[in-house]
Amino acid sequence: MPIRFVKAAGLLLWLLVIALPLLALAVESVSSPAQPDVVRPVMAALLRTCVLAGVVAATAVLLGWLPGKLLGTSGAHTGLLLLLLLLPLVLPQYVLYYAWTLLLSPTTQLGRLLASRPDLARLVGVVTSTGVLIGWYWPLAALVLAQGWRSIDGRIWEGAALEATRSQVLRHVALPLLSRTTLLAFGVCFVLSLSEFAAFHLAGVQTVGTELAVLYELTGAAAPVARAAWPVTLPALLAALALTLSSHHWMPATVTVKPSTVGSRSLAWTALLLLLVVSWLAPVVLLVANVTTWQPFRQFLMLHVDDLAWSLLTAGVAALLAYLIALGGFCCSKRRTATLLVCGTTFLAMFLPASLSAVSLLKLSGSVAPNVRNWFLVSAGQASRFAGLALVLLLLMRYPDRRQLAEMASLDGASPLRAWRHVHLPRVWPVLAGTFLLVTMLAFAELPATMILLPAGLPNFAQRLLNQMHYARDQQVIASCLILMLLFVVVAAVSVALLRMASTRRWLPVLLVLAIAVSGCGRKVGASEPKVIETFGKTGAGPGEFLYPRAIALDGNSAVLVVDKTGRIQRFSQEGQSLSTIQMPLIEAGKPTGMSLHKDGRLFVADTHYSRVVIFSHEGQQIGEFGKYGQEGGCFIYPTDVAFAPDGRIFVSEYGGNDRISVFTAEGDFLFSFGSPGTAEGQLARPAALCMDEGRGCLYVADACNHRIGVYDLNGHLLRYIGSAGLGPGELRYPYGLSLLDDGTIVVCEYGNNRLQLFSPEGKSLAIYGRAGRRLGQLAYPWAVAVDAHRRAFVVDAGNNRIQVWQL
Amino acid sequence: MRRETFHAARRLLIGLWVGLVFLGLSCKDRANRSQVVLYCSVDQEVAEPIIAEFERQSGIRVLAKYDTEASKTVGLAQRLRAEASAPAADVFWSGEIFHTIRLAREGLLAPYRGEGVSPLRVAGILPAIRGQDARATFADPNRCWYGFALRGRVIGYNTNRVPAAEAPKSLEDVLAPQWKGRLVMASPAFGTTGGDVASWFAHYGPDRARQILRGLKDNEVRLVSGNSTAVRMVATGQADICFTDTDDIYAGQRNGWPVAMNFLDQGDDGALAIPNTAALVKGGPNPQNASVLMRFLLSEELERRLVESDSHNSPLHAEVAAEYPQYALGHPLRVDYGRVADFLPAAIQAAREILE
Repeated sequence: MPIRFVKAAGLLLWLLVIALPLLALAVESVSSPAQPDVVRPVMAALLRTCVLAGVVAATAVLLGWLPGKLLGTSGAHTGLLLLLLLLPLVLPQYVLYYAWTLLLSPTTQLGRLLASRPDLARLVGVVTSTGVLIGWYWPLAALVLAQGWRSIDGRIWEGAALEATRSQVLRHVALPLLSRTTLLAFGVCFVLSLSEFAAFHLAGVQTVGTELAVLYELTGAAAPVARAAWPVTLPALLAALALTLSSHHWMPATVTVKPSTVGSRSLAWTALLLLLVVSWLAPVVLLVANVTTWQPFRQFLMLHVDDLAWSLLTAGVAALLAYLIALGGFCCSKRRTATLLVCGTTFLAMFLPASLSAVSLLKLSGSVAPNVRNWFLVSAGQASRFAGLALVLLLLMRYPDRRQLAEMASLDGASPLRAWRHVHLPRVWPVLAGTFLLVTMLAFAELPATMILLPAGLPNFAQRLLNQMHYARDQQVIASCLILMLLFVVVAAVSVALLRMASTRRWLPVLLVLAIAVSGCGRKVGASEPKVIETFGKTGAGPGEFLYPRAIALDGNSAVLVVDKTGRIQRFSQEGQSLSTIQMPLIEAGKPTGMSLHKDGRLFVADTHYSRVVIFSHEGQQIGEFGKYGQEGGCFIYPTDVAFAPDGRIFVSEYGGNDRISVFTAEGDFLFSFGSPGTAEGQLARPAALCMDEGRGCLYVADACNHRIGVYDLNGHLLRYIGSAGLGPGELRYPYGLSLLDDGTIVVCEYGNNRLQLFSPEGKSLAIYGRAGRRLGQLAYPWAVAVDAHRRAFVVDAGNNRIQVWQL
Repeated sequence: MRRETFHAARRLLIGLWVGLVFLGLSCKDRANRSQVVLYCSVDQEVAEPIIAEFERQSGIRVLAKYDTEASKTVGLAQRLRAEASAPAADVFWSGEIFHTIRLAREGLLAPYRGEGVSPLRVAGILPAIRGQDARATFADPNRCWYGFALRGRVIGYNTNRVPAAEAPKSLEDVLAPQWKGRLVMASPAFGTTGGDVASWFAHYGPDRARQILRGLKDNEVRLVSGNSTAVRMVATGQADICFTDTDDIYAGQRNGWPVAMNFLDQGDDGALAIPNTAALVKGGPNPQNASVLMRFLLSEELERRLVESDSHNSPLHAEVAAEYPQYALGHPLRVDYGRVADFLPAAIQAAREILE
């Protein structure tokens, strides 16, 4: 439910902030007449822009190579590395540019020297702006490259490293495996550089980004902007598509490359620190070193605190919106069409010049409420620009075993929210905090969209800073920049503290989203406390001990047979005393998951991983088997259970690709089968257990992954279903075990809901027993159940390595 | 059925948009009690303390929208046009005059006849128009706008590379071959540069003005994003001279940059003086408060503040001018601003065609 809420909110925001504005923009650009005069300056700057963007992207990828490798192959210092890589991104490009121009100011020695050589001075002007952008983009390239390194299979790498030199491994393994990622890193940096505005604007370099940013102000209409943006729209579309398709497969390899096998770590660390010094520390030092008076700081605090407050509010809301949109896209990332649509457009909005989205948002809001402008629109414009970045970071946050962990937490009784808080949050909070912080600060310093959307009366820090730079008010600019950095530290500390507390303390009301989500979770189901009569078994491989028991059969009222993952079938007295053991003949490939006792005393074991049914005598001797691996009639892939019809026929369920019920004669000759893999009516998804109701002449099939019980006649015709997916009464999650009371009541063992549920033969839920947990009366991953004539249920409590006996 | 669903979906989406748009509107409506919306293309750092003083004196809250150096006055003028059907602004305070005149002609400005608009005694700094009512030159005949606090167009130069004696003193000087590859100017599409080029058309006539533009092109003039950028490029040695405004040179000198200026004389007829302008926006939402703000903008006090600010404008009020002779515009060009405004689009178009 919380996930559904977040997804719905995210998708709604995506629709309003990204999809509709992009659609309006597309319509505008196609339907409006050509305006060559307006478009000409953009076209004139296209070649120069492409060259500069190409230089920026190529150099950023080269510089980001070693830090990317370091991050992608780092086991221990991922959080620290991520923080270091995010550092240069926090200061906006125009602040970095301005800091460097302080060094080149005419009042400095270097400035005076340059001023005497105009050609060199011009070159330095262009190089400074380009260099600043390189210093800003290399961490981004490193982040993308790191993902490539994370996805390399460590076994391949190690195998190659054994037989080849380091340079050969680089040429023949690393480069081919990383070619796509490298191209992607280049593409991302290239497309973003195409739309770059502030640094080039300050440097007096005309680019597509600088021209587009002022085009709306010049024309006052959205159409010319939309048409003029075509040269950057096409690369943006391509980059968005490439990123969408590639991000679909972003997942660390099961075995990642070991840090020790990729070469010198100290070299990579040195390179990283050197880059940080040049791209972040040096500009900061330049700013601090040029402080000559504290007056501008006092002036700022007296006059412009409202700038900070409003800008932080709009940026914070923008970050929240971007987060929700990214979560919406993240939740959709399992479905290809939805991924293409939601993630693709979100990435497209990131790659397009921000002024485009802003103009479109303005037009769209204007069509609803003319000339209404407010801070929320500013936040929406900023969110539109940075939701793609938040999505990229969320996708990078995925780790291979997250689904299994969620499942295990769920089986331990955790609601989705609790599972997220206690299992996932402790692992991912650094990325979450970093993403929120980064998006907030980027939105805080965002200019092209903000300039267009800013309403009258709303103070804005970034716009003031840009104007101060234009007016050459060095001391005010330095004061503003240093205050911006201080703000970054404060916001970082608060974000980290909040998320740390959220991941460790119970009492903390975490975030607004979660608070809202709480209302939809923790749904209680009316379960009865079972009366526990007996329990036996404990963890171990000795007599009377279990390692994950999975199937049970009752031998009348005298004995209980249990098979576990040691491949032993142990016979117990009903009081739990270990009597004897039958060892399965083969266990290397896997162990049985189902067995049934025939009326004549023979034990039929579904030897799941050997694609056969093995028959033992009452004394434990193997006396026969039937079935082999295959998809033809009479063959199995993974048989799960066996049931016997009154006429002697044998029914065997299986999964793994066949997902069907096969019917054999009493002698083991194949007769027919029914069912096929799927979710539709009559189809099966992992039929895990069978139960024969001889009185009613029907067969119950636990259709586990379809979360239902299928009721069939003995010729394989579907009669009806019992239950549907869910947590409530009458609903099922992964029914793995079935048994039948004498009165025809069906006892279902729900692996997913950690409980037994009783159904009348008509399908009405009668009672629920048990819940997730480790205590008596509680279950962990129960696999099977068997009931005797006294309404005693023997529950295979697999996760707790025990059998519980409950009185129903 | 499908049609109904479509309409329902459309209504839902529109409703959602309205909801979201109005979600952030509380500040707008809450502040309606005593506010005035000002669109201001005067440098933010200069205008803000002045506006704060007005707020303190009047108790009226000013919701100001400033331009950015990227788009200057043009951006705000376009915004006023876009909002013509439902104006959001009450007062337009521009750092220049030409776009204000055009807005007035388009019927987007309303006449103001309140206090502060009595005939001005001619300032001593304007000998060229001495003896005349300054309002006749610096106000709209229909009272839709008023001018005050002038800036001048100048040629900025790098004092380390260009001796004062050799620095160009007129437009014609700049066309000399010695300045080839050494000149930068702001893009004429924005700011005062467009008005300056238009004044060449008005003063010299279109043919000569085009000839001048071609001369500049032959001298490999480079266009940059704004006047302040042009001054920075001169200061850092990326160019030797630039066309700019007085306030941008003052800003550079404040930082200790090696820049100085000569007025950009057009022939021997003087340099273009560009006044600030204030105007009421027609149909603005707060007309009464707008009148109060207009009175303040046209006051001697405000002009004094602008003269004393980093911008160091030249005052029209004679009393203020007498106090600050150092900021006098020695030889302002006598020009019909209305005619310059007429030439503005054609001049910008020609400049872009020839120079870009």
